[in-house]
Amino acid sequence: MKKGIVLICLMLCCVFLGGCWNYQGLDTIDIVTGIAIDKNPETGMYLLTYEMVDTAVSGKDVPTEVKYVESQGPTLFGAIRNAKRKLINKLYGGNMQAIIISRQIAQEEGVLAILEMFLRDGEPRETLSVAISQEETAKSVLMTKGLDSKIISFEIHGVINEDNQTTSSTKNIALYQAYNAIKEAGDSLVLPILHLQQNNNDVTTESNGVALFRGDKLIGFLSPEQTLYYLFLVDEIKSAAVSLPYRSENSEISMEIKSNRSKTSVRYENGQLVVSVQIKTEMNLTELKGELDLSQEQERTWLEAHAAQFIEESTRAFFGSVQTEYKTDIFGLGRLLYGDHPDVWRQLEDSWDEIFSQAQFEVQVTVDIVNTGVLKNF
Amino acid sequence: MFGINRPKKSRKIKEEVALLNHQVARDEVSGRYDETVGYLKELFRDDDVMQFRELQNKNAGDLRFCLVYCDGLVDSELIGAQLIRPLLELQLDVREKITADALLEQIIQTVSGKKLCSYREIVRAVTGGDTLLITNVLKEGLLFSVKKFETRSVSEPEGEKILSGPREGFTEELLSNLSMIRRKLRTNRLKMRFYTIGKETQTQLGIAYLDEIVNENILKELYRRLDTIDIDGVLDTNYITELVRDNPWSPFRSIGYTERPDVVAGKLLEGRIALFVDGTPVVLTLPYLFIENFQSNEDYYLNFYYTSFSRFLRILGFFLTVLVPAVYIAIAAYHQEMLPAPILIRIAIERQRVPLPAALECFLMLLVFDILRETGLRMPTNVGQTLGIVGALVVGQAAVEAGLVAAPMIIVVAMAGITSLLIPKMNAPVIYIRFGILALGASLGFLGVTLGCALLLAHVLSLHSFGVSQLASGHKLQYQEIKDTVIRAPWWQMRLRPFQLSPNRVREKSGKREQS
Repeated sequence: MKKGIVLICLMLCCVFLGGCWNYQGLDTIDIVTGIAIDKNPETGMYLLTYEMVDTAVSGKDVPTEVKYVESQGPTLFGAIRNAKRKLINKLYGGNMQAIIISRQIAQEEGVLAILEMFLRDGEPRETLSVAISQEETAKSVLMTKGLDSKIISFEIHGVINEDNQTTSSTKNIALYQAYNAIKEAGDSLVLPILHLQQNNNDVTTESNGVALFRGDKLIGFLSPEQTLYYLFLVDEIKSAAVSLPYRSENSEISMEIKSNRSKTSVRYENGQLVVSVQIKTEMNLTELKGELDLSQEQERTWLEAHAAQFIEESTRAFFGSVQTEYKTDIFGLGRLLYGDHPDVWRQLEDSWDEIFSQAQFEVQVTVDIVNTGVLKNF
Repeated sequence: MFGINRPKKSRKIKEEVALLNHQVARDEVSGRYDETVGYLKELFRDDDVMQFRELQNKNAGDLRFCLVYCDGLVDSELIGAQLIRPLLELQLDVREKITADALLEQIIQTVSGKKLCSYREIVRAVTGGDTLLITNVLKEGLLFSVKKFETRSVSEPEGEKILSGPREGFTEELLSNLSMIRRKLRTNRLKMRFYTIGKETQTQLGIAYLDEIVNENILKELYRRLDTIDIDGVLDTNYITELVRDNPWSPFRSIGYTERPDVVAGKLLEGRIALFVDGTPVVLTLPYLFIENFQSNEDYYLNFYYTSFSRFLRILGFFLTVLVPAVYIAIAAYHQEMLPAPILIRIAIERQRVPLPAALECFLMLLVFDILRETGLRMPTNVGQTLGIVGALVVGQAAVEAGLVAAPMIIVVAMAGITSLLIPKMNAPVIYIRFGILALGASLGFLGVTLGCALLLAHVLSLHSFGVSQLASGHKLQYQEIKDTVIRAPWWQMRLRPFQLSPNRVREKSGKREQS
């Protein structure tokens, strides 16, 4: 009997004293939703800006409000620790959705150390978005006002994701993908970029193509239009709009890509790298200035050939410009070669960028126009 | 002073009672009229309800009778017409002709009558409403059944209301209850055995089963367990349940109970045994399978698509009511990353203003819910409703607005409370399991919740009912075995009885519907 009572008391202690190693009530944490990473040019210290949910202000009637906390430190982790000194609660990064890195850091120091730090930490999700700020500081991007959400990090995550899916103007890269792209043989990293844009009377954040990397260092930017052709080559297109010139001057038609499959393959022949891409895309016509009767097979075939030719030329021109301008395999073509012929890759690895810039490019585009007949003659 | 006298007194009373009991147990009716009547009067002394009506035959002055009966349990008109008048007006030529058989066969006009010699049996019969006749010419006492007492009329049981199906419910009277079953199962296979239990109450049990369908071993085991019962009184079937059940400490049911004749008939047809107790409308059915917690008689009266869904809801309800508070606490206190960010932020904003830690808050709110439920339970309906509204208002709205309780907690507690009402047959275990798993979840996070579930599963798997495992199936999983579990298959598909219950499994030979 006595034993039983003691046992019950002990068990109750377990419940109420909670010898648990990390019971952390939701009211004792500050939920960090995003981080901007800058470097203070004067002190040379890392300058971190955190976006957090302001639970004290937000409530039933007030929508979710955010607060910004800034901290500095010689290292990233040191800076994060310093932030705690300003706050009652612990910083909690488990629901962070965006890390924005300033272009200076990406150019001068590289992003690998930053990515590794967040991956080593247990809390952050590996699926959060990593982005590069095209502005002076990353902080300025984080501290803009969102159009849809008070929490700009969530909006950035959403915008990048959605742009990747619908407009193919940027590419969403999760934290783990960014790390893999750096570490994997023959692969290369691109990260989405953000800049500020005037919108009515406000300034708001906008996705603006992708940043290109050699290793983990920033080497250049692709505009949203260029990003489309980049995505054609890495088979990441889900949906996009393409505008192409029509028969006469000043006349354009615009077409929507409904689905796309690109097949990129590489082969190394006679000291020459041959990159061949087969693009099969389904499009429909959305906008047309001029006369075209899609109910006629002749006209339809002409448009298909015309669109195919346009994509082919644009892709070829894009590939050429990358070869001459960056002289870097931003498509991760080395990974394809490594997958098929690891021994060949090992021989070429050191001079890969050279080989890439000399590569021969073959492209074949097939366009299939669907959903005709929505309007008469259209 | 008291200390000295009291034991003596009680010992004296004890001795007297023992003597009396001994005599009742041993003594045969002696046949001497005065002695018998005197002794019966002694047995029933200080009992003003017991009537001793002494008569003398008009024609033969030395022919004396005494009727012994319990006032209120007998029909006095019938006694007058069928017993007293024939006896008084009896024309007698030769005294020697009167025998017990002659009286029973030719003179007395009641429906039933029999001879009794033992005081023990006489006491039982008279207290049960029978009328005893003692004469100075017969050795035996004669018993006649002219019972008449008030019983409740047949009505729909309050606790087991259904939308569609038979609406009658059992009453407190054993024989009328058995008759309701008999009306539904008009076969000679239906066996109904009486059994008496309770030293003081002498309660009659009725054990009903269908011969050749019932599992004889389970029946034998039931009798064996009933034989071991040594209790002074049985007022309700739950006495029996607790005395004969397996796993006596388990909160889960091990014997089913119902107040509906259609349910009992259905269980009998599946090969179960029904146990009726005189004086209560609640009837036990055994063995009890775990799935019966989720079954309702209505499942068989409504469309099987609909009832399969309700089955699923009930099973889901069990898991929800047991797990929702624990999982909520585990997530809110340990595994914040399990929640999508927008939900987490909403909850965090709500929690910000609340003083108590989430786990303690949850304990208190669940307790409040149980208090409200318990108060509402025994109240008259209108007061119960008022209480419900006041409780919901006070606890729900006011507490949230005062910032004492977070709104998500109200949702969690309401969820746990409402879903527990889906499975009324498990109300006892659910309360303990819910608190237990909540405690584990609050101290160890999901590890604790998982641990709690594992312990629960181990316990439920170990449950037996009269030698039948309640949850574990001895067979590999087959469609035939799940036809009446998670789903309720249509009747033309349920061709076999549950294998655990009956050795005679075939219900429908072909199972095919007539093709038209």
